[in-house]
Amino acid sequence: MSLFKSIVATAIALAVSTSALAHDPKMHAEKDQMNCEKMEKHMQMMQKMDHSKMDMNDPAMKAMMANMGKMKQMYQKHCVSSDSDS
Amino acid sequence: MKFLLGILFAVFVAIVGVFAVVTSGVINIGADQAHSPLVYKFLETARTRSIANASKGIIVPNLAKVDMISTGGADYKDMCAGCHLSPGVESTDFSESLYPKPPNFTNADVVKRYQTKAGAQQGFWAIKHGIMASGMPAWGASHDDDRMWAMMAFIRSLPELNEAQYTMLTTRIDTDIMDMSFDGDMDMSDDSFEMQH
Repeated sequence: MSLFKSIVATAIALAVSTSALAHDPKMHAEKDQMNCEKMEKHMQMMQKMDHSKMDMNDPAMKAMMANMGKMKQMYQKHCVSSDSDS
Repeated sequence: MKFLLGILFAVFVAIVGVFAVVTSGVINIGADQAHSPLVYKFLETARTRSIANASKGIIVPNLAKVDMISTGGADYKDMCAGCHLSPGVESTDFSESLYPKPPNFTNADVVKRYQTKAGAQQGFWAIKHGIMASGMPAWGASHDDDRMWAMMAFIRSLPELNEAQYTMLTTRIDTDIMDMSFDGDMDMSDDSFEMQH
């Protein structure tokens, strides 16, 4: 009976700890920025963007441009070079 | 004296009446059944007044910070977009099924109220404490204030974004992971970093 209780307690603890990790920004970041396939789609999307219609003084646009810059860096470093090597 | 007794009797009857109706089980609490306009207005007034009262002392940080909008975007995509929608997504299972319907934060008219100081205070309060019996969770139980203010900052900018801009702004870029990847030699060519939500 005590073994059963400890199994149940462990299962609950595991479930709770997993759900807590689900909102860890680093875990989400890994999903977004460590995936070349996803990043490649983002690169294509970036190329099609019309920057002339954007207000570059807008903080949201500045944030977007900063994110795009980081994405480009990551893509160039890890996806373009590894593709060309193979 | 008779008048006073009459009032007391009326109050007693009203209380017994309400108790009888509530305990009888005749009230339909299904989320697919709308409140009567009077009850809806009553509950809406209670909600808006309560949030306005509870949030009035909250100090609003600078919500125009670039970093704040960026991190808020990523959290919005993961935690809010399922109900409050995103550019190009007009409905989801959650947005269609919840009652009352969650506000659509891609709509400029809806978001306008959060662009004032009081609106930002109220939006932050609702994110942190949630709204009882509405489906809105209390994110404050598991997230710090900075992350919730960042979500508020992003929501204020959301209506001006198109689909591509939303995608770019909500992609989570963690600077620690970036630094690590430039220091070492990480392999990003497979899906080994995929995680479960």
